[in-house]
Amino acid sequence: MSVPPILKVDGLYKRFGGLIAINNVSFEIAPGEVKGLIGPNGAGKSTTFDMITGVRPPTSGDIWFKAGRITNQPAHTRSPLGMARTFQIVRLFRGLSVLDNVLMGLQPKFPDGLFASLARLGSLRKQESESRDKAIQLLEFVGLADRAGHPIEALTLGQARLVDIARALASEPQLLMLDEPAAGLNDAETRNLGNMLAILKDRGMTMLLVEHDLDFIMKACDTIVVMDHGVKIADGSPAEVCRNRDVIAAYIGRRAADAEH
Amino acid sequence: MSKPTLPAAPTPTILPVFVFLAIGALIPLVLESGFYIRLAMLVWTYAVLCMGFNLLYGFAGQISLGQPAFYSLGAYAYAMLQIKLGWSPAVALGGSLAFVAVVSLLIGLPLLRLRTHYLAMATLAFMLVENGVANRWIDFTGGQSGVEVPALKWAGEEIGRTGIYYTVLGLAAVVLLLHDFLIRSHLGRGMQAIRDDETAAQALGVRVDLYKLRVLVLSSVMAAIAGICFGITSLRVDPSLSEFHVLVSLLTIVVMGGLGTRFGPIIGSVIVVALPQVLTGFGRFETAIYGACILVFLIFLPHGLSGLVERKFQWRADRATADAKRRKQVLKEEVS
Ligand SMILES: Nc1ncnc2c1ncn2[C@@H]1O[C@H](COP(=O)(O)OP(=O)(O)O)[C@@H](O)[C@H]1O
Ligand SMILES: [Mg+2]
Repeated sequence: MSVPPILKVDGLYKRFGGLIAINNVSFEIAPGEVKGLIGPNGAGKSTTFDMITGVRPPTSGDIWFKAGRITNQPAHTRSPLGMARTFQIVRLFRGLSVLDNVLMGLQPKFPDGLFASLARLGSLRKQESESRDKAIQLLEFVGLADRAGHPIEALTLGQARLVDIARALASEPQLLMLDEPAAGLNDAETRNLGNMLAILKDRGMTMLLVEHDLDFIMKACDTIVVMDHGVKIADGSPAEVCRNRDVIAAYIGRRAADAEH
Repeated sequence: MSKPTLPAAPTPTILPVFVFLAIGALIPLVLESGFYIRLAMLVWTYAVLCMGFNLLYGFAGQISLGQPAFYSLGAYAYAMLQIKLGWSPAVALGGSLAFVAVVSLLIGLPLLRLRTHYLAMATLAFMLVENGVANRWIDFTGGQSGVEVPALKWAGEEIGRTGIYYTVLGLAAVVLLLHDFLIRSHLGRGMQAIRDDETAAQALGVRVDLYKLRVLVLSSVMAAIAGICFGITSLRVDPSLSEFHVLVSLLTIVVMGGLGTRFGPIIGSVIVVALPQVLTGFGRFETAIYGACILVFLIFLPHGLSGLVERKFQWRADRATADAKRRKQVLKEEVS
C-alpha cells in the first residue's frame, strides 16, 4: 500500500487474568476508509476498541496512529491527536445541556487551566462564540439544532446517540470510532444514522465501526475485520467476508458453513 | 459564497455579580451599627468558604469534608507569618495561600485517583488532625485561646471597622469574580463533565486527574482566603475554626443556597448568618435546626434557593435555542 495507514494495530494481545481476550490481532485503516469490526458477543470487539482509545492498555502489541506509537498513551491524549469515539452505552454529561455536551468536544482547543484562560481573557469570548456556532452546525448536521438548549434527560436514545456523534465530530477528528452506533435504534433511526455515516464518508472521514447489525455494517463499510474468541478470522471487503467459511461458522455454526460448500 | 458573519453568542451576563458587590459596597453606608457590619463580614467570609466548596463538589463532583481545616490553616498561617516571621500583612496573605495550596496538593495527589469517598474521608481525617494540632501544640498555636491576628494598619494607624469590612469585601470580590468566571467559561463545563462522567471527559481530551487536583487546590485556597477574612475580622484565630460546626454551616449553606449554582453560596450564607438572629431562642438547637434544613432542602429543593431562580437549565436552554434561531435568521437574510 502506498498511502501509509492512519491507524495500525499490530499484534495486539490482551489477557484478563487467565482469559486471553485478544490474541494477536492486527489490522490497518487507510485514510478515508470505513472499516467495520464485527464478531459474535464476547469476540473482543469492545476490548479492542478500548485499547485503541486508550481506556485500557494492551498486554502486548502496538498501536500506531498517524505514524506515532500511542500504545500506552492515556485516553485523554487521543482527542488532541485527532481520534474521537462514541460509547456503546451512551455517556453524555447529564448535568449539561445538549449544546454544552457538543461543546465539550472542543474542550482541548480552549486554553487549559485557570491562569492560561485568564491570560487569554480577551480572545476567550470570541472563541466561545465561534465554538457555539460550530456546535450548532454539528447539531444541525445530526438534525437536533432545535434541541440545543435541552437537558439530556429530554432526549430519546436515538437522539442521545446522535448527540454523542456530534460531540465526537466537534474535535474534527481524522479517525472517528463508533461503538455499536445502531444498538437500540429503531429502523427509521438506523436508516437515518446510515445516511449520516454515508455523508461523512463522502466527506472523506475515516471511520472504525463496531457493530453487530450485519446488514448495517455491510452497507456502511469498505472493509470488515471479523473477530471470534479474541482472534481475527477474516479481513476484507464485505463480499469477501460474507463468503468466508470461518465467518459463517462463527455466526451461524460449523455445520451451516460446511453445508454451504 | 462568503461565510455569514454571526452575531456574538449571548453568554449569561456578569451583571448579577456586580449587583451583589454593589449591595455589599453599600452596606456600611446603610447599616451603621457595628453589629450588622460584623454580620455582613461573616456572610462574605462564609460565602468565600462555600464558593470553593461549590466549585469542588457542586461543579467538579469531588467531596472534601476538610474545608474547615484549610479555612483554619489559612487563618493560622496568616497570623503566624506576621507574628513569628515579621512578614507584612500583604506578604503573609500570599505566603499563607501558597502554604495552603501546597498542603492541599500533597493531600490531593495520592487521593484523587481513588473514588470520591476516599477524598471525603481523608480530608475529614485531615480536619481532625489539624484541629488536634491547633488544640494541643500549645507552645506554637496557643492552644484553646489561639493566637492574636495583628490588626490591619493604614499609614501607621489601625483601620476602623469600615476599613476592615471593605478589605473583606475586596477579598470576597476576587473570589466571587473567579468563581463566576470559572462557572461561565469552558472550565466550568469541563468540571461538570468530570462530575457527570470521567471516562467520557477523558475521551474528549480532558486530563481528569489534573483538573481534579487543580480544583481541589483552588477550593482550599478559597477556604484559606475565608479563614483570613475571619482572622482580620475577629483579630483572633483559635481551634474553633476547624470544628465540626463550621462543616455543618458550610453544608447547610451550599444545600440551602443550591449546589452547583452561580449564587447559591452567597444566598445560602445570607440565610445561614441571618437565621440564628431570627431563631435566637433556639440557641442550643442550632445545629439540629441546620440539620433539619439540610434534610428538607435535599428532599424538596435539591437545587436550593438559587436553583429556583436560576432554574438550572432555563437560561442555558433559552440562550442556546435563541442562538440556533438567530443563526437560521442570519443565514436566511444572507441568502435573500
Ligand atoms: N474487564 C474485564 N475483565 C475480565 N474479562 C473481560 C473484561 N472485559 C471483557 N472481558 C472478556 O473479554 C472477552 C471479550 O469481551 P468484549 O471485548 O467485551 O467482547 P465484545 O465487545 O466483542 O462482545 C469476553 O470473554 C469478556 O468476558
Ligand atoms: Mg461490546
